[in-house]
Amino acid sequence: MKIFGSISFKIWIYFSSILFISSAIVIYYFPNQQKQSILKYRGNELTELSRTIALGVELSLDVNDFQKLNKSLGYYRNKKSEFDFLVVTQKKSDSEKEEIFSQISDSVKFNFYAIDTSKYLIKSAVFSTQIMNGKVIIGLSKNRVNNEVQKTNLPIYIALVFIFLITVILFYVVARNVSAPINVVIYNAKLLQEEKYELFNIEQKKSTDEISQLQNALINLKDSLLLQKLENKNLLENLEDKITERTENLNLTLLKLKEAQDIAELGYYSFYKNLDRFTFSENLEEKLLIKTSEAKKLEYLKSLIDKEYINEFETNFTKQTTEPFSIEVKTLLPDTITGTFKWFAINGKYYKDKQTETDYLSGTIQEITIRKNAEAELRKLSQAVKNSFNSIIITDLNQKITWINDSVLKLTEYSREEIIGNTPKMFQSSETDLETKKIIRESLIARKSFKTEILNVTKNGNKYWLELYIQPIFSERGVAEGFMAVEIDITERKEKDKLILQYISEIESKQKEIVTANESLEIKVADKTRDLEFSILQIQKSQEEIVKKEKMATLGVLIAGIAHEVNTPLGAIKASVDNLEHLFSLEFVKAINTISLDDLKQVLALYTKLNVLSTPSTIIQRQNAKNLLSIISENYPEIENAFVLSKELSSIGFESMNVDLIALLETSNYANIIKTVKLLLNIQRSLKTINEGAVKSGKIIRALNVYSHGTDQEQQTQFNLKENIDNIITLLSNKIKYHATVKNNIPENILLKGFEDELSQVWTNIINNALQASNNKCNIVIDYKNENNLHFISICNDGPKIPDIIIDKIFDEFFTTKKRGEGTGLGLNIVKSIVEKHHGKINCISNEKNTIFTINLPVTKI
Amino acid sequence: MAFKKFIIIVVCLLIMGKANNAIAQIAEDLIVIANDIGVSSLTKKQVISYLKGEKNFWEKRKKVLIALPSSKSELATIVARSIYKTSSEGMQKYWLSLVFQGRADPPMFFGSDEETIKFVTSNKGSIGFIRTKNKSQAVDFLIEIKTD
Repeated sequence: MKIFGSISFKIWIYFSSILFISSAIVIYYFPNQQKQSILKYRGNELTELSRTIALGVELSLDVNDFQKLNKSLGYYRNKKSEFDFLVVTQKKSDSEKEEIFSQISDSVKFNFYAIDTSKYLIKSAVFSTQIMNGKVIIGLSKNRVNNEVQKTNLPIYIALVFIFLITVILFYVVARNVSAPINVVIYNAKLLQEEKYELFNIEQKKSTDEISQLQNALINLKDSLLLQKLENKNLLENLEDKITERTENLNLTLLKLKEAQDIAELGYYSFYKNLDRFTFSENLEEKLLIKTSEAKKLEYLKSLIDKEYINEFETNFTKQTTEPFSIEVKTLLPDTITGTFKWFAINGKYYKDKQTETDYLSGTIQEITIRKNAEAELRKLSQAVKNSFNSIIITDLNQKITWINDSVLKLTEYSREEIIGNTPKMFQSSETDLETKKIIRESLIARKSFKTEILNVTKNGNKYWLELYIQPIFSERGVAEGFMAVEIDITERKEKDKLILQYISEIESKQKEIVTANESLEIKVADKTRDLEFSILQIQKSQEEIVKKEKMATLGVLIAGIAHEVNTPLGAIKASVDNLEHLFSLEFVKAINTISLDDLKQVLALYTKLNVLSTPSTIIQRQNAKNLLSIISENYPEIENAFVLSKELSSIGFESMNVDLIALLETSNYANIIKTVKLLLNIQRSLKTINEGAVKSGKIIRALNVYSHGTDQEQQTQFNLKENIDNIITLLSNKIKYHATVKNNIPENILLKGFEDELSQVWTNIINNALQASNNKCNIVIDYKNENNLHFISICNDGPKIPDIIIDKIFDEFFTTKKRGEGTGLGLNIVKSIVEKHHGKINCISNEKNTIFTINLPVTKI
Repeated sequence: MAFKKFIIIVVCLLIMGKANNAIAQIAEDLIVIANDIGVSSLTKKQVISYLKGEKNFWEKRKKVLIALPSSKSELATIVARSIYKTSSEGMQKYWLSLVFQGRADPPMFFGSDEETIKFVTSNKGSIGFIRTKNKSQAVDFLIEIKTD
């Protein structure tokens, strides 16, 4: 280490480094330069050689002199270092590619076209003769050039290394010689530093060189230091005495300070913000429960502070300004004496540490819990007194008022200025009881507490009653200092007392009147009861009327559809009757006249057979006519009007050729026979239409009769549930038949006991509501089940959902979603009443897919 | 008689054949001359072998010196065709190729029979071609071509 740090080493390493870098640069760049030069030289050489050989070729072929070429090639062939290969190419014509004519190489397997040209230095020369044209190409391996370079450079490297080593050694010797006197100076300076003056060994020099001057200066320094050392020794001895004395004083002061701190519950602290570290006086550590080093961080202090004061605390501790601050904070540390939390007053200011150049906060922390609690208590009391509804007056011993609260101003109507300095007598009036005045006076003189009631007047002359509590005020030493009066306004109470007395006398007289009135009241109650019973009967009747009206309203809604339903079959009947009349009046008589008795037999036989067949549809008739036309045309070419005949045959029920048709066509009068049979079938179809129309009309009329046969049904009857609901479906068929379906899944044998017409009204309302809500476009399914001795009839439709917001109201009286005038809002309410009248229940659930009304009725014994 | 004539003709032809063998030529109007090559006669195959550079030495280890007609010579085409089976240019290219390969010493080319005779007569181990008409100028150097 000494060697590496010495001056000689520093000088030596400086020069050696420069030398080393220079040598390195030379070694790095020189071989490249050398290589480039040799490559250039070799390239030129190869170019010349290729030109010479090309010239030789030209001579050989033009002048027939092969000797020179052979001689020169022999020369180069013997000196193989000149090239690695020689290739002569021949170009037979301009368009053709050159081909190898001859080649010279060490390798037998040499292939000019396969070599890596980047590894060779290749030069060529063109020759041109009458016999052939081509190129002489000569190549030299770059590896050989590199070897050549290495061989050339090796002695240079050796020389360089040798020069480098010699120079380094020389530099070292020079550096040592130069640094020797400096080392002596350094060594002796170190001795002076270590105060080893006896080992100091430099003699005064007369020479004027820098080293000698330095050595002389060092000798002077040694003398000065020796002198200074002596002086310091004396000074130190005095200083020690003074420090001892000062330390004792300081310790004494510190002790006193600590005592003062303990008494004042005050401590000091320092806070280094950059280190987040506090230092506290011992008493503070105890107070703030600081036991670990972690507790000396700002975060710990924050954790002790009540959240209301944290911001103020943190701002002052982190703002880092030179302005001093003073805050009072409430902590979360419990105070065992008062049962509250501890309070601290914190003062501080930021200073700069001169040694470390860092800012730190220094200040004091004092516990002020007792003061704060006292202040709080005082504040509460003060507020209580100030804001009391009672008037409070404080006087001195001469009864001069020194303090009043706001209630006094309000009560007396005087201003504060008018009252302060006056005596309470200013509020008394001529009507104030003299006895009371006397009691007050005596109690004040005796310094006793007392309570009394007194009549005073306001500034404006209004009288008021007070309940007065007067109490003397004593100092800490028990000396009376004044009086405090608490006055409660009892004017209202006094007036009420007066009124109560009046009321009591009035009540007594009234009691007597009540006894007599009671007797007549009982008679009146009996009369009212009778009136009420009559009213109830009236209401019941009204309800029944409403139900009846609602039913009639529903019937009115249904009647248009029913009329249409009845009108349709009646129309069909009318048309059929007209048809029959026409047939019988004209065509039938004519037809009978055209046929013989034998034909008539055939007519009847055909009619009997075809009668049983149902009339085929128009499309089938057309198809049949087509088939028959082709059959007739084929088998009976003599029949002229085959097309009309096939249509006639198909209309009376023939489909294809059969025995009856053959027999018919064999008959000469077949046209009249067919016409007569068709006529008979027409008559039969008209009669069938009349029958169906009459049945349908009858069914509707029956259903209508069942629905409307009256609301006066007084007794329950037994009826078939399926038939009852089917009637309703019939009545509503005009609404249902186009876009709606109603599927009645109720079993055939379900018998119900109840008011049939009223229950009809239930089904009508529910089904009709579903159709109306869906604009007659929904599918209704009616199901039945018997469970727990209850009939469950569910009517489910896939129409629009009943909104959640109204589903609970649909059974309410007068609730309707229909336009004004379209609905009474009583339909479902009456439905519910009817179901409840049968001791049953009805409910409705509705979702996006279905709306289901479920009615359960108790099974009653039939 | 006729048979006799036939016999005579055959005998004459045989005699003539024997006589032609003795003076066989490499080609028409072309004879071979050589100087001290150790033999007085060569087969055509041997001549071609020496002249193609396939053999560089005579039997007595004497170096073969070849004299060929230059492109200016009228004999060049005849020699090239009969010996090298190529044209006069082809013959030169043939020799150029051999020279590059270093397989043989190149021949000397002469524009006239006189130059050829002069070269052959003054260089031992040399061999060349001349026209038959100039045979008399190199009587001592004539080489007999034997049949193979």
